[in-house]
Amino acid sequence: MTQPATGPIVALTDVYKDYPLGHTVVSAVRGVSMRVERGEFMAIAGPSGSGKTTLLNLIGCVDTATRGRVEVDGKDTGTLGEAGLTQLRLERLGFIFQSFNLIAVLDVFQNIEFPLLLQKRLNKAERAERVRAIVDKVGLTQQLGQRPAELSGGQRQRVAIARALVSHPALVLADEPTANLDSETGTRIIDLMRELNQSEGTTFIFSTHDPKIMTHADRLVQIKDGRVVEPAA
Amino acid sequence: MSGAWKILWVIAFRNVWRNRTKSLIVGFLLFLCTGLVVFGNALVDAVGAGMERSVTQSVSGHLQVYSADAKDKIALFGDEFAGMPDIGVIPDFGALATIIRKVPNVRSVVPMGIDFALGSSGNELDRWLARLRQAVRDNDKRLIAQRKEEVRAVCERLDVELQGARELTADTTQFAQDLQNAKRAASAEFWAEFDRDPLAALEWLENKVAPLETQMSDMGLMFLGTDLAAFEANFDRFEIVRGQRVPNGERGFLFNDGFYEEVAKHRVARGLDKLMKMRREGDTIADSADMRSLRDRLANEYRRVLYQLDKAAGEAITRDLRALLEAPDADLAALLQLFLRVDDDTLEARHAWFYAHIAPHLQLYTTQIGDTFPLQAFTKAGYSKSVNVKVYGTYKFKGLEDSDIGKTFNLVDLVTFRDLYSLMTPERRAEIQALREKAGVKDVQRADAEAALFGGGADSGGVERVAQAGTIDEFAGEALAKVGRREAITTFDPAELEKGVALNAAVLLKDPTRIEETRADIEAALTEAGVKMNIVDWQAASGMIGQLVVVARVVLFVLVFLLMLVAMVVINNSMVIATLERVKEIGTMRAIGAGRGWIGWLFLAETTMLGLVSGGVGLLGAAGGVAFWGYVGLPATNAFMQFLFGGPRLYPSINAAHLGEALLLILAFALVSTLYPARLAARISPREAMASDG
Repeated sequence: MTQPATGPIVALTDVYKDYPLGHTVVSAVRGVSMRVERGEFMAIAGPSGSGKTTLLNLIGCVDTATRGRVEVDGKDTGTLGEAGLTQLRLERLGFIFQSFNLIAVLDVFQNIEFPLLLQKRLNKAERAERVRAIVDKVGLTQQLGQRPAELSGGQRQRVAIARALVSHPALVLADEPTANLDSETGTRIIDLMRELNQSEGTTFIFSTHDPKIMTHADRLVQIKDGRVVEPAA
Repeated sequence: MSGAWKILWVIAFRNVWRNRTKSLIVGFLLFLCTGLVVFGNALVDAVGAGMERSVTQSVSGHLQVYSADAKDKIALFGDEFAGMPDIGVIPDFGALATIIRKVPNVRSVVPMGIDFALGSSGNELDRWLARLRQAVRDNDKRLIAQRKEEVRAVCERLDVELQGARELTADTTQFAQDLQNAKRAASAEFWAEFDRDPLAALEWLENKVAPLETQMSDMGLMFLGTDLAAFEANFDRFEIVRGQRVPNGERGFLFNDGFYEEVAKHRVARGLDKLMKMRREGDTIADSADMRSLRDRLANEYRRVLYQLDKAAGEAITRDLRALLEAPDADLAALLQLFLRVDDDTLEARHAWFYAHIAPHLQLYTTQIGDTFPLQAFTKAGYSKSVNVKVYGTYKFKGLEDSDIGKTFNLVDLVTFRDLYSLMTPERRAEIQALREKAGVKDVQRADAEAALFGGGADSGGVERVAQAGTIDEFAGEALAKVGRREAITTFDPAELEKGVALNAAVLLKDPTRIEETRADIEAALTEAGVKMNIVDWQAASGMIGQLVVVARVVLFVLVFLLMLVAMVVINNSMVIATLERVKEIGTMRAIGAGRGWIGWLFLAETTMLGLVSGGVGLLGAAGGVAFWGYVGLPATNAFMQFLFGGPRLYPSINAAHLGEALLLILAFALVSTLYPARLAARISPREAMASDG
């Protein structure tokens, strides 16, 4: 997939997302417009139910907008079909989840290698090298053969970060990455993400409602009732 | 294999292992299905082969040819109503055989015809009277005196029996007459008068007294008329058991040995044999209602022994039985009843005692080897027809001795069959005509027959017997029988077998694996010669019996299908549950970039793996089972199974096709069962990965 060298990594223009709820329609995102530049380390903040996750879903191509335009890495996601969205996620995006979402039956190495296997671009040796490089950075060299169940919460989230970054994505989306971690571990995870943002140049967008974590972001977008209340750039 | 596929199998394997309980349940069902398919198929194939051996080597040959104008389909063992189908006739067997024999894979063609007949050998009194008549004919004074005493003893017993039955009789006028006749036959006056006109006295006894002894020895039998020499040469299972084969060119009858034992044997001996057989099979009189019922019937059959014993034997047996049963005052009738009322403790000893002390004095078979006995059948026109035929011996089909179907047919030469069935060659008809003229027989109209033969309203008495009459003049045949029995045609020119009529023809092949191909070749050869015939394989020719393998296969597949249906529900449910349990994991994979197809294959891979492992174990288990039974042999526990197995044991074998088919079937089935859950999984949205994270 060609990688546009310039332009914002994310551009939302008057985006709405409605969900049917019984006989009514709930608008989770209402008229959001914003741009995220490449290399940013941005936080989306807001209380539970404010629409953070929906916004991340739209940016992460796991959902499509009801109205408005969502561009990711120069592509209008509204025009991409299911296969196109999958391909975009696989090639250009990385995900970090609140509950880590590791594949329980795979060990640390295999969990991290998983996106590379799906991409089918690297051979076995290249994949191993890529995994080892990222594992070095997240500090899990000793845990490569362990299964998720054998790791602590912080270690699991490091594996999730490594998995999100191993394929060198243009954008990593993290949904409440520290919500299931104690504050010290949470801070360390955010520091790690920040470090990788700087060393790899990868754009990070993470949602949080923890004010302490918000302070680590270069830019903070506040969202409430589906609307951006703190103006985005 | 690419890394993506490799990791798919790794995840599939680990999921199968992680959910061991579920996997074990699904795997067990797949194991059962595979085992059942393999073992069942091997068994059904072996039964098919066994039955093929049973049928082709005993009666049908590989193909059966019969008239294209047949009203019914051929059914060698009878149709579904246990009757004989009307399969028309082959007018010129020789011409047909000549054409068929030229087909390269044909080994031989054997003419046949199957029908029902009644074999009659009269009752005990008939036999005693025949002996007395012989003594009178030979004018042997000493023997006449002895035979008279014996007949009188039987008549005395009959008189006593009849008096005992007085209260049970509704027609008292007739009964009074019968009783009077019996009393007269038992009286000293009658026997004192006997020598004055022995033939008249004998006739009176035959007509008026013998019918009172109701225990006739008629037997219904199925007979197969054929070229006996060709039959023996071509049907490998044929074997003479007693007596001898029917000499070439002679009329003759061969009892099926099993039939002979079961039907022609003295009823008391047969009953005791059967009780012994049931006992050996583990039943006891105390526990088995069947055995008790048979024993009770046996005790009521004592007259069959009583009436056969001559005076000396009767006295000796009375003496011995009194000692054995410690009943010093009982008479022979009471003693025999007591003796035959066996229990579990006495059965074996009494069976032995019977054969040691009583059987030597009995005629153990109603028709004996060497006897000439009347075979009575119904012609196509519906009239009964009777031919006297000599019993040369008994035969069996090796390996099918105990099977009912192996005991179905008695054999008779084809010429006699044609006579019975009113299917005669012109030569034979001419020969019969010559005999008829010699005997002074005239054709009479059916309506006038009784008057013409016996005088108006005369009591004809007994059963009309019709001998070798060519046309439908059965009553005239009675006269012929009286004159012609001793000079009945007992020989024929063997060439006549080929010339005449047959109902069907068995075709035996050099290479039995090419049945269908040879059938087509024969059909082509016949068509070329302008002959139209029905040609069917042994299975179709066997009627309902031939369809048993098909039925067995259907039953097997229904069983497998039902088991699979259960397995399908279980697999489907467990995979749907697994899908629901793994929504987050699948959503994560989808978010990371796994396509729908890949997710679908992940689920299919899990059941494929289960199918391969369980199916493999199922195959091994079933192959082991088949190998074991193939070595030891599956015993036929009853006569019918013996027929199905083609012998006393079934030796199933397994081949690559069985294994391949079963494995493919199980894999296809496992995949089909997973299609829905796989589709469900593939449709899980990547949003689900984030679902609880909002």
